[in-house]
Amino acid sequence: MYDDTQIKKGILDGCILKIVSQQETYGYEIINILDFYGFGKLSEGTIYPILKRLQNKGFISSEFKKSSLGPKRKYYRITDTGMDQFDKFVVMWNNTSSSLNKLLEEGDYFE
Amino acid sequence: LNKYEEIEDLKKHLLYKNRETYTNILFYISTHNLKDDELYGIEMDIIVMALNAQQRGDSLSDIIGENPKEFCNQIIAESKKKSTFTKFKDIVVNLFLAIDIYIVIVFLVNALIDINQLTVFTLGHLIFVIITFFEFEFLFHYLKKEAIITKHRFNYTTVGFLGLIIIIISAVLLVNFYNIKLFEINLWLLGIVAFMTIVPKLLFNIGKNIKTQNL
Repeated sequence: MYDDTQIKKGILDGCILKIVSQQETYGYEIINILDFYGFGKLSEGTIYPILKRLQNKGFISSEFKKSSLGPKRKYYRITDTGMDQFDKFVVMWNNTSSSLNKLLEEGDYFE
Repeated sequence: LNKYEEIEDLKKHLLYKNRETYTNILFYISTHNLKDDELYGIEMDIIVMALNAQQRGDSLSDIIGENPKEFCNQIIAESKKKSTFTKFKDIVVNLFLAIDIYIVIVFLVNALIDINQLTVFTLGHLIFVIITFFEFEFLFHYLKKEAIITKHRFNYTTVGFLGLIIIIISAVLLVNFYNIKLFEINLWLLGIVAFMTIVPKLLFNIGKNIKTQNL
C-alpha cells in the first residue's frame, strides 16, 4: 500500500487551522476530528509539534481551561494571522490538487 | 501557586510509569538549551497531556508514539533556544555557585579543626572545583540525553562510580596545585558571607515547601 505519511504531514497544518477556525478545541478532539474525516488515528505526539509550530508563528493561540470531566485541557483557537494563512493554504491546495487531477486525468503528454 | 509549584503539584497526580516517561522526555529536552519559559510551557503541556491520557486509560508512551526521541526532536525544532550569551551566563553563574559552596565546605571543615586559623584558598582548590563542576555537567548532560533511549532514569550505581572517578581525578590535581596560594580568608568573615548568601535561600525554600504542603 502507498505510504501517505509525507503527504499528510504536508497538509496537516492547514487541516488543523481549519478545525480550530470552526471552534476552540483541544488536542485529543482535533485527533478525533481528523480521524472522522479519514486521516486515520494520529497520535498526540504527531500533532503537538504542529500545534506548537502554529502557535509560535502566531497562527493559533492557546489557553488552559478546567474541565468538568477531569484534568485541565489546553484549548486552541485561530488568530487573524492564522485565518490569512488558512486562506493561503486553501488557494495553494486548490492549485496543487487541480494540477494533480489534470495530470492524472488528461492522459499522456507525449501522445 | 506559581507556575513551578503548579507543575510540582500536577506531577503528583501522574502514575509512576507516566512520571518516568515524562521525566525522561524532560531530561532530554532540557539538554538542548531551550529558553526557560519555553521549557516551562513544554513541561506543562506534557503533564496535562499525560493526565488526560491517564484519565482515558492510556499511557504517556501510548500517545507520543513509538519514537519518543523523534517526538522530542520535533518539539525542540519548534522551540525558542537560549542565546549563546545566556548559555555562557548560566554556566558562569552555576560555576560561581559551585565555587561558593565548595569554599563554604572547605572553610567549615577547617573550622572544626581550628576556628581561629586563616584558611588558604589555593590554585589547587580552584582547579579542583572547576574540573569537578565541568565533569559533573558533562556526566549529567550525557545521562539526561541517554535516559530517553534506555527508557530508565539514571542508573545510580553508574553515576556513583563515574562521580567517584571524577572526584579522584580532581583530587589528584588538587594535591598537585595545593601549594599555589590564591587568597586567605578568616573563618569568621566567611561565616558571615555564608550566612548572608546561603542560609536565607535555604530558609526561603523550606518555607515555600511547607506552604505548598499545607495547600
